[in-house]
Amino acid sequence: MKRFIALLLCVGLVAPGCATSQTPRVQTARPTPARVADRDVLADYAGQLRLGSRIKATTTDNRIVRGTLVKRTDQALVIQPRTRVAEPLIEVPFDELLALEQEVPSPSGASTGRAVAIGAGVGAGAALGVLFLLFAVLWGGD
Amino acid sequence: MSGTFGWLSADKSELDSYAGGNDWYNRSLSGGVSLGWYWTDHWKTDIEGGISSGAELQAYTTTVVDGRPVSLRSSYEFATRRLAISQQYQFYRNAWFHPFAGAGLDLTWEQTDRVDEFFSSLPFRPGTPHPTRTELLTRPFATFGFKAYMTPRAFFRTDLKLVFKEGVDETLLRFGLGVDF
Repeated sequence: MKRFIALLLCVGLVAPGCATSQTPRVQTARPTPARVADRDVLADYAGQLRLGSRIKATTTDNRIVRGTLVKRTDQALVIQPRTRVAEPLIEVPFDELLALEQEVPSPSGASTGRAVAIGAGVGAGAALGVLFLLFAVLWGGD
Repeated sequence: MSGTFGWLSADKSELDSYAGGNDWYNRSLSGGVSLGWYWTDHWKTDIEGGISSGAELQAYTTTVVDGRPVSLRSSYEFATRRLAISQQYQFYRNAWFHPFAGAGLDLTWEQTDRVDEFFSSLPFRPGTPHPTRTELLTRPFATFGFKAYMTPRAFFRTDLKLVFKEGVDETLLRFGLGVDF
């Protein structure tokens, strides 16, 4: 009886693992026609974007390019990366494009990056103020 | 390249035999310059040099004089010069805000001035000065902070540096300005 219960438990533990490991194989298999449709849809969408738009392009190797759309051809997008120090243009062929989004800056000009930078600046300034205050208190007390 | 100033605190608990006293000195102003080289967009080797202003610390111990236990107050003043080399990792690439973290080796030349005074019913004794002593301390350190760029190449930076020797031995909170070439 004990052997039977042990066997039952072993089967119970192993069986869900087998089922789980098989699931992604079914989900990841993607028919080729769908990929072609994706490419055409993205190309159509890109065709409607205005030059100068801020965009976020994700490539099939999961590289993200953020920048300004400066040129559009039948085969590719040309993007000026939005970086601190200027970098060369990047050409992203539609065949390598996985996702494309237009990024619309908020009317006030605020962005997450800018908010973080401002927050960091304010925090650093406050810390600096506290430091000066500490020095004043410590040395002033003598 | 960057220049920084900051607030240095150091653990000197080995000097004071009375538990519960203040065994850190924390009135030292520090200044320094660092030069770095980026091997990649993220990895950087940094060499820094700096000095710190004199900071006082009172330590109390018990000793025996003429067969009687007496309290001894030692007044220390510490000042340091230091050289450090580190490897740092900078998060993000070509952005306006870069957190960073690093670790390295810190060489500190610590100069110590010491004057002793006895507290007892013995006849008054004037303070006994000791000769100035300079000791070289070699310790590992870790640092973490961020750089916020004001222009494409000029930045504000701040970091906290922790120097270790059987636990955290020194803390240095720094602020500064720098430029990338």
